[in-house]
Amino acid sequence: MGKFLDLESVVYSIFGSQSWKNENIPTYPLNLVKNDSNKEYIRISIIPGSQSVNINSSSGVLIIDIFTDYNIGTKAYFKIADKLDSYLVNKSFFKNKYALQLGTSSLAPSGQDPETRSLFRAQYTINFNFFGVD
Amino acid sequence: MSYRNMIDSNLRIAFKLLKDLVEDIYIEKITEASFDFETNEVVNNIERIYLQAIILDSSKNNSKTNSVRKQCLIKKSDVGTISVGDSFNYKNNIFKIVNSIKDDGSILLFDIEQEVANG
Repeated sequence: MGKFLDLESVVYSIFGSQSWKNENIPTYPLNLVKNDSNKEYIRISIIPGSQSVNINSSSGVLIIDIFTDYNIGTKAYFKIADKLDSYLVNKSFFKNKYALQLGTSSLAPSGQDPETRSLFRAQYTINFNFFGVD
Repeated sequence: MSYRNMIDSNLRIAFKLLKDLVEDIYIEKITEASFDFETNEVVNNIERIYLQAIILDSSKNNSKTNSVRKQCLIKKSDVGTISVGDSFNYKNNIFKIVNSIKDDGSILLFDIEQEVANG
């Protein structure tokens, strides 16, 4: 595969693990129309940047939109963010000849979701370095 | 007869009276969509429904591509519910349902769009 597909594959393997599935937080990638009635879920965006140590490496940011029910306070999305932290912050993942190293996280509430006004959206962000060898 | 049945019955008559203005189409509804993060594959259940639709309007507004947008009307009783992203096959062209879907309980009004090869 190529750098970007390999990066996607390593990131998605975190959310394909049995332990993450056991958390029961519905997880979606970008560009997929969700058609269930879950009010709490996350959507993952991988944003590769330009800095890298070689042509097979990249650094960037993982943005995870956390959706929770509207008008229920902040606890629900903080709870999901804490779970994400336990899987991601300062963790390293290895797959084939690639390594993904994650940094520290931040969390910013975005407010009522403009597309689905009955949901609240918060944005969880974490930096990554992705290393690949030729 | 209930009001709902009366409306549905009159709609069926209206579609018959419109004759060739009514198009035979099919919609592929995604009834269940999930994503398998282990295989990086979308897992879909798709249901194909053959029905009739009225194409109300057609427009090209995009300056960078030859995309065509059409406004469609169908009987809700033919299809139940549809979602943005479902496919709409009309005259052997596959459109995507792209805009908000207006549902008055009896008819569904929505936009479909696709890119065309030669304007």
